[in-house]
Amino acid sequence: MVEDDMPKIELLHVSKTFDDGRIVAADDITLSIDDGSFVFLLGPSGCGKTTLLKLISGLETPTSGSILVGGVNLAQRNPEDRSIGFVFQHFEIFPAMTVFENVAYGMTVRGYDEESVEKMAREALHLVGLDNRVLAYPRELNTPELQKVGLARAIATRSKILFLDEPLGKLDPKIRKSFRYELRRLIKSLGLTAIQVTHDQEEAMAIGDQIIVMRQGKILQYGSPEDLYYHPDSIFVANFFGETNFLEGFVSEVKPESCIFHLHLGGPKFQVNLKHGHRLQNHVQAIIGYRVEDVELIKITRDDHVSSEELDLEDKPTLNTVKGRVKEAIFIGPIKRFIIDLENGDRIQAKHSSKFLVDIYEGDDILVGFHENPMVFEYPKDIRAELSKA
Amino acid sequence: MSTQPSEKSTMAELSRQDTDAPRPGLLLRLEKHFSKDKFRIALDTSTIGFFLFLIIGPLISLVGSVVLNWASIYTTVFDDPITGSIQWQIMGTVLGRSFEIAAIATGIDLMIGLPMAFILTRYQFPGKNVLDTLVDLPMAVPTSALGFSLYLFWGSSMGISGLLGLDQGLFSPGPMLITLTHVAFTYPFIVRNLKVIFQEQSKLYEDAAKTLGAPGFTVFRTITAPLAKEGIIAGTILAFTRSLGETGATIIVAGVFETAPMYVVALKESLNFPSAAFLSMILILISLLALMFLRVFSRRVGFPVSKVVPRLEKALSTRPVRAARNTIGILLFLVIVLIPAMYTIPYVIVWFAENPYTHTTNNTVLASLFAPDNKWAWLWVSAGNSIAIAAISTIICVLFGLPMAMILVKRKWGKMKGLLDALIDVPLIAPTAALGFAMYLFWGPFGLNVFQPGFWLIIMVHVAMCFPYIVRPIIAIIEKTDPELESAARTLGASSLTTFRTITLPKMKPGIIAGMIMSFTRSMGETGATIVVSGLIRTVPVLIVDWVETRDLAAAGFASLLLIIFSFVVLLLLRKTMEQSYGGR
Repeated sequence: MVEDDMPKIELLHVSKTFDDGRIVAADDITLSIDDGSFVFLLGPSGCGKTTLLKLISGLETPTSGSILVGGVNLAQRNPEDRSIGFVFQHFEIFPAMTVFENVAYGMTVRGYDEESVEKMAREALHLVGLDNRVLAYPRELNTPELQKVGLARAIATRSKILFLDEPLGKLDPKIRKSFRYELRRLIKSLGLTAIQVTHDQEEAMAIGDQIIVMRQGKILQYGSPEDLYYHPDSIFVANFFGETNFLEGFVSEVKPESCIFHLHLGGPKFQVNLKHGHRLQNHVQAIIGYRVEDVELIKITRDDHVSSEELDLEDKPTLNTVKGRVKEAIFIGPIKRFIIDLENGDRIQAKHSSKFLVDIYEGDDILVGFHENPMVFEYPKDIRAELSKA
Repeated sequence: MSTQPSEKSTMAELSRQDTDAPRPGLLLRLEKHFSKDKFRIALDTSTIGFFLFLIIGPLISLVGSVVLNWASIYTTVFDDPITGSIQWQIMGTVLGRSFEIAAIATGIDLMIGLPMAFILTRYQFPGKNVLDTLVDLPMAVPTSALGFSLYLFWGSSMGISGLLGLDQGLFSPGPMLITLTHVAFTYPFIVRNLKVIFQEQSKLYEDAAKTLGAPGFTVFRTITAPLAKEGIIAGTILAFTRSLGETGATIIVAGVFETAPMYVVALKESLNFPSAAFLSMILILISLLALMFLRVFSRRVGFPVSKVVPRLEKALSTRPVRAARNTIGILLFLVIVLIPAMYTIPYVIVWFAENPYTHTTNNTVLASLFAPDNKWAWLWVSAGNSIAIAAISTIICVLFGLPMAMILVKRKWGKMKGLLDALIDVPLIAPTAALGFAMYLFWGPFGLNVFQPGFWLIIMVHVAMCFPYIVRPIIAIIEKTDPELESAARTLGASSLTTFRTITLPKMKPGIIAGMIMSFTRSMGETGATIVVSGLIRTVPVLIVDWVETRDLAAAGFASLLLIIFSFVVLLLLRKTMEQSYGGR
């Protein structure tokens, strides 16, 4: 059997425990992955992403639940009976074989004839650009070359799915960045369905079609990079990507599509729009979040003793404003970063292109402008846990 | 990775296009078939079954037969109508002697071995490798050859006393000679153990202590020794039990003085089976206790760390004291261990064709070998036996040791594995004569009656002895290998057996070869248990014992020399293999 069509991947209530149930690596996971998409499993260390990858690829068996790949239940087949490609974090190149023998291994052990083996191996090596290292042994190769061997070996058997376990983890940061695009190009040109594990959110956003954010064995959110970035479901996910300012307070005048948000510690009131189906009620605590690049900084001169409400804001009619003082202004080349103490005591950060804020300095009193569409969250039971990155 | 636009469609085509469907050859198909779970279970079961039969069976049957025949044993040992409880008294005496000798030998070894271990780990000098190999040499010499060598050196007129002009050995066969012998062959064990401990020690701790002003000896007592205590205790217990159980060399140098293992042999030969069984059981129980103690308690025992006595310790740390310590360490090694152990070599050379005293052919090697009783022929027959037995035992050990090693490393059986692991070491610690007798009872005419004393019974015994020597190195290598390599092979479609053949086995090769060499050498040198089960067959070590008993010293010397040379060659081979597998990094 050469290849199977294994387009869609489905997991139904899959759980995986170790050590007699003491360690829960995967907790009742249900998801489905479309044919041809490049999906990332993203999360902090220990969240279960590598376990999930091994479950889907068949290297581990679930404690409960079922996994279907192309409609076929995995429980009925061993990995060696299926056609999958797996790229390992530490490459796992067989040390006693040449590059060619490594790449040819998947065909050799399945009994392909010599001609086919040669042809398929050489194609794979050409695709990754290792035509000239064919007879070398792994110990003669550098890290990027070893990574390519691992990749070539995994795609040589023409399987339709590729699993990658932090494949770029061992590369230098600069090479990582250029490789990631090559990787995506290769996967797309071969029309593969690919699932990659990473803890690097930038990588996931840059080349992933879909991202699955995991934490402590559960899936927190599953969507495109934009979905996750602009519409995070939880504070944890909001905090995981980019940088967010979180403001605590309570809500009043709750309507289906808007409410008034009172910043805590006696801060001003904001006009805030809400999503359909929100579950906020009057006078409950809540948290709103603004990305650091979404915070407006408005300069006021020293002799304007103006309160937030009275300021004339013709050109920004829908902006909530708070007075604040610039505690730090940090120049980082194309970007300028600001740390600002708001008048109610909250401290926030703002990040903007250096070009547009030439005249705001440390010690300045400014107005900070917040738009009316922040991320809105119910106040969590354990705020510290939500805000941690683990 | 460069992909031209025109290649894009080709690649997309390729990934959907079918190459000729694979037709796996016979080997791959067989491997796939036999990779199924039911075969794995069968292999596991037969491996464990074999092991149980091999080691546990005889031990259990020994205890069992003691229990079942308790009445008769009680009578024979404690309440014989004629001799009363004399058997018990004798047993008590020989046990006491064995303990005493073991304690003294181990103590001496610790004292003279410690400086040597220090020299070998903390200093660099030309010729260090040579010294290192020399220290290991007594381990490479089969015990009876070693015993003979030591007997020659200390106990006969042709050794050191000859040089001093005496016409009798310095020590006649007896306890002193036995102790010296035990010191010699346990020395490498202790030094090796101490070396490993010192090497593992972070020198940084010692450096830190020195920067804080502690003189060398204080550093040793307060920093190095406590950290190393676990290993030192383990090594001491190991050496102690080794000495306790030593039979082969002891028989040669003991004369009429008997140690416990020797008494087992004597009892068996006088057909006093109840007593032999009883004493064997006691000896084995003691060694099992030692094994348990080793595993459980070594962490908890404290080391006496008394107050620092600055002046004395400073005095002990000065240069001249250190130099003296080093010199004495090396000297003692040479005089007490190395030279006596190797004494056979000059002896055989000198006495080869001409008697150096009378200048005739009396008592020369040649005369002895080619005398009318045809010892020469016997020697070669025995050598053939030894080699055949060693080869067959080693092969059997590999066949069952490989799967056993895999089980111990890879199967997740929890507590059972720990037990199995401990049991593998039993043949290393139990006295060979006792083990040999247990196996004789189990397999021989009084037990299952499968084997008579002779060739195959010897092989069974040797398999039991050599088993740990094969399993341990293989385990060590498997543990060092990255398990993900096998996952990688599986994702590429290789069945378990194919993965084993193409990936795992090549990596294990150095471990397997090292194990085979150690097992072969062990078998070639095995004496104690072999004496019990050999019947009329002779292996070279047993032949040596025979010839010493009949005072055919020259012939015994020659046979010993052959064994020694053989073992050296094998030891060199072993070092070469180890270097190859670790040097290629």
